[in-house]
Amino acid sequence: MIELKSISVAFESGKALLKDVDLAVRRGETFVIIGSSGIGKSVLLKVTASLIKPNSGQVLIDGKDINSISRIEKAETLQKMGMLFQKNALFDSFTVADNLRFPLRERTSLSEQEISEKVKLFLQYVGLSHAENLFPDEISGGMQKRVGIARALILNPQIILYDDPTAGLDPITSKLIIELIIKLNKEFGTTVMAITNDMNRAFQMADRIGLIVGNTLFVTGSVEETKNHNDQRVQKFIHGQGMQDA
Amino acid sequence: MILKPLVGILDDIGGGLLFMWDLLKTAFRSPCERKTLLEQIYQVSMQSLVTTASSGFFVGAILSVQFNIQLKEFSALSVLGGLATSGTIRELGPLLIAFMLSGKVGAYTSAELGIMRVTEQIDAMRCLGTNPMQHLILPRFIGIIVSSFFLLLAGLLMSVLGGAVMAALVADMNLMEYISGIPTFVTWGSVLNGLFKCCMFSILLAAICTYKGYTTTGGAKGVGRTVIATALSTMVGIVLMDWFTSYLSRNLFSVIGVGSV
Repeated sequence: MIELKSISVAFESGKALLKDVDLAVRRGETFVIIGSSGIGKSVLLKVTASLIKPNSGQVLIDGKDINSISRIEKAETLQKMGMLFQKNALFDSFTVADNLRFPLRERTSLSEQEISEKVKLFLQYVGLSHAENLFPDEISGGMQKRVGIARALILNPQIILYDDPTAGLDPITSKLIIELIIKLNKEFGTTVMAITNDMNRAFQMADRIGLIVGNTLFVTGSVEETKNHNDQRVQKFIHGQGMQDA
Repeated sequence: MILKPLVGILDDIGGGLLFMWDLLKTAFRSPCERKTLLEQIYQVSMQSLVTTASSGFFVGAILSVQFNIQLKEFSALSVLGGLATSGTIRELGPLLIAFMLSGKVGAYTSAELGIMRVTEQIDAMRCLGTNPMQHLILPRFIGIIVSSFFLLLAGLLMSVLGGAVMAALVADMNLMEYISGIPTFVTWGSVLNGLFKCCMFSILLAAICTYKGYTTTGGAKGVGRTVIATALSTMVGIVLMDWFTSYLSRNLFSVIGVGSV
């Protein structure tokens, strides 16, 4: 479903951020990427979403390289994907309901009545039926996150990319958000690629885990395999020890 | 040492040209929605109407007072209305509109787009399968250009009024006397010249503020830098463009035979 082949990304100065990253995420799988802050997790997710063009390598979605297909094919391929941004990226001049209406108006031929019904349904899924007429700055961080999730899911994408879905949330809200993500993934059968710094949340949602270390992605396996991994770098990260010596 | 800022400027110009090329392709391939465009035209016009109209009034009044002092000496007050209006339509009107739009709409647009960029709203749009060039940039770009013509018209009408009021106060002329001199000086050439300048200034302003906003980086500080860079680039750009269009229109309009007065 998602294949990253020899992805390399460098800063403008030429310094490598990611080097020769290879990854294959299977259909229906939840793959969680962990790693220290600033190591390139979000960049890797944005490369997958075609928001950043890698310096070299291929991003294959269902076998098609999204950086070398035609504009129309790319738009069709990208429509298979949804993304939740770290800071939610809600349209701040739109109400909660309009944030959900926007992609439906732009990308589907649904009538206004059908759009309103779908928006109501998705707000119900994320428990925000009462907030449809509020603006993003009138709701809490957790609620904004739930709006972001609903907006990412509303076009029924086959792939969802979650950029640190629990960033800035308290542990209880974080747990609830991950539970919501798991519930919705089961309901919609989506393939998930997520990044997080929180090991508890990673273990809660992952089928497989990968650690970014030394400019590349190192797949550590399932939750149990990751917990019992014999690589020092993995154990240090899980137990919150510095990675400098790793 | 000297090369670094020069490279920065060239880099900016190159980036801007590529951005414009992308925008042009978008305009032909997937034009923006009429409703969004009309909203933008309305918003930009309304945002600047009061300031443009009041400035136009006072520009007309200032020119009227200044020309009155000179023309009184030669007993040529009958041409006061024509000279003041010609000066406004050919030079001060378009320049005034451009500066007003730069201060209000340019800064507003670049800040708005800049915030959308740094808060990833533009990335979110792309992820939702929509083209930000089509939905955000194109309506703003066309909106600024179309609105500038409405504002020029409003500014001109108010400048005639301002000039006439001042002429009545300082030169004891009535409105009809003031207006009757206008056709002598305001020819099709000067109207075309004014429209041409207005068009070029607004294209430049729209290009700079949308490009700067769209390429903002660096959070809140970055948005601040963008607004300053937009204000600076548009002011300098408008003055340079004024020189260029004055030179160009002098030659161009005499070639096509519409006169340059």
